[in-house]
Amino acid sequence: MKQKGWIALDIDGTITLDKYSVPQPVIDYLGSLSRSGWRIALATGRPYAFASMALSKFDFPYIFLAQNGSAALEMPGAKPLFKNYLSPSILRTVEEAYEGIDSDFVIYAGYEKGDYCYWRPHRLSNEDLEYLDDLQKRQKEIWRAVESYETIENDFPLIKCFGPASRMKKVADRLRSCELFEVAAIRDPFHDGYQILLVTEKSVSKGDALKKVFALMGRGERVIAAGDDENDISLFQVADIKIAMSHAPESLQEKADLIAPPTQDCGIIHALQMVLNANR
Amino acid sequence: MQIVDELKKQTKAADLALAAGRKRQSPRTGFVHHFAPDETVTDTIPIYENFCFALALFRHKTGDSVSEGKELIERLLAFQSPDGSFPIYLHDYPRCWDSLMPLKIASLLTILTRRFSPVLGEDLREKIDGSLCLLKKAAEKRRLEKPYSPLWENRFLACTGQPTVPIDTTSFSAQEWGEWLLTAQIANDQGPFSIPYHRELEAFVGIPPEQERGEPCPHPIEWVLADAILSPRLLRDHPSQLLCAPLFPVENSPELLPNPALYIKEDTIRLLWKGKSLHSLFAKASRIEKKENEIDLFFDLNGDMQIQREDLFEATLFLDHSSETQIFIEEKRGTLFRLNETISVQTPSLSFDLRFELLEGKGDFCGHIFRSNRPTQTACKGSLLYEAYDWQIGLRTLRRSADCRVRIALKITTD
Repeated sequence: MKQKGWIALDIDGTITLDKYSVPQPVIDYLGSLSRSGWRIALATGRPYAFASMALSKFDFPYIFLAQNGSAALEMPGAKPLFKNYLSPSILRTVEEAYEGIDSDFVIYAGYEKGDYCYWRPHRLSNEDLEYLDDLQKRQKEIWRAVESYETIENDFPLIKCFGPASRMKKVADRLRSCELFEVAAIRDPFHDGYQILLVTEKSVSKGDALKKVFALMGRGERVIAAGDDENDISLFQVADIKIAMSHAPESLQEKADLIAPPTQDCGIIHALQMVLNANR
Repeated sequence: MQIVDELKKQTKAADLALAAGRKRQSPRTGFVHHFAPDETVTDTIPIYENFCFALALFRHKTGDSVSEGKELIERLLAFQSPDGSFPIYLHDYPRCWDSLMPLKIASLLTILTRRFSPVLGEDLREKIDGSLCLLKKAAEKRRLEKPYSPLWENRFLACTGQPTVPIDTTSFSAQEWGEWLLTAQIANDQGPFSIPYHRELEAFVGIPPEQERGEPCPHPIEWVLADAILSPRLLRDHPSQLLCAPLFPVENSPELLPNPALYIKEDTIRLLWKGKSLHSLFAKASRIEKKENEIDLFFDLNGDMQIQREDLFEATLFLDHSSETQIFIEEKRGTLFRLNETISVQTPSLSFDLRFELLEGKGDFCGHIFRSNRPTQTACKGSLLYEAYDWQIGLRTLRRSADCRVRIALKITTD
């Protein structure tokens, strides 16, 4: 069958509002697109273990871009395609970015290690501990408390910083200024005023990961991308047709060709139908 | 802060364009019905404004609005005349009275294909490409018959993919700036531009535009340049908002302009300042001189006076009528004044004094303050024919010698 191209979709807020599942009509529709010659890529800031809960009913081939593109897996089957991880040597720089800030960051070990998360509880305020407790429960992740990050020897995909937007801006500015990282800021939809920074290798973004996938598997005629947050801008940069969700920030909607109806109404289906009909 | 941000989001120029179109859209025909010279007439269907409405629908980007925009474009394309142009109003078809129409519509279709190609669909794209081809031919034919002005020559070059040529923008009106921005966008010129725009007043402060009721008539560039459209003047519904649809945000080189904003060029003076509404003082004199603390308006009253209604007031100026404006003659309320008396105009944000003096010649004059309209007032039509939106402060000539010179000394006392 002729490959028509790629449909690259963000997961949270784009194809689902539920952390643990994707609506059946969306799964069915994406399955039908896959069978008709479209290749599907699902890109997320989530770790593989957490995202795979939501994607457990996907029974057709797709590419999974975990943790903002730090790792790409061919699904179903979770066959690794590539990964782009951070070295433990950069941790000193991140510690410096936190100087004078009474908080801490967490480190994800990677899908190969079950996606567990290192954290240092003694460095966190009660408020942060409450927030992390909630985050941990929501994401159903395995967390490993450590005294120090000096014991981490292997490369890892992602550092996650969290906190009120003003604090995160300070950290993000410091991290960006050293030009070692890709820093994507996303809002926490469950915690008003809270932001999460996804810190990855410099060249890592959903868009860059998708480009690497194209290099391995071919680009096809057309690339359609959809997302709902700032970390999806890089996806838009490699796409021909861009769909933003109706709740996406202004910066993303401005770059979009089409604004999809609300996610709770399976808006992504309507938007994809519209652009596919227009470009038949 | 959040409320202001929310307001900013809701009041983008493109959103106002869509709202203005929706307000004038007929539920029966689906077209925008509008007649520029008289808003009360609703049976005409202007083609250019409808293309603008379609673009506004596309810019809204939702599935429904895009579908509606596509349908509207399809319907409008059917009214392309055999010579490639479009009529001004749909009922004119196939007669096309506006020789610039091919360039105007080609501009909108070019933006449409460039910005919204992914959602147009192949059929419509082909139709638009065919239409564009005919429009360009019609524009070329018109160009051979009669050369375009530099502004429209550049539009032609931009629409036909040729590099634009340098153009002097220093004496552009607000409308010309709007057209030039559109040309620049088609030619991928991102600016920055040097548009005389006052950010605090949210107003164009170059060549004074027409007056519409109590305020300067708004123009598309004012909506496009406003960071957040917040002034009541710009937030009010206006048919010109439709013309914002093809204009995207641009960078204007920031220039901090004083409030009040003073425009003086040759014989024209306009002072703009902020209040409940956008206040303005306007006059045309023989010569205007700006000194450090004063502005002198000289009126050369040459030859014999002609006893005609419009000639009775030979030295005059206009001030918008507003509930927050108070006028005093020698500190007392009044409507008649004499030469050399001080007329004080007071508003909450600006006050100034005026003094009429006879510098040369002999004569008898009587000063009057009365309700009137400045010559550039556009609203006095239909039911508003006898409305007066200004105070006129002028010197009525009773008798005078052949060569008189009158000076109005304007002194701003507070700001």
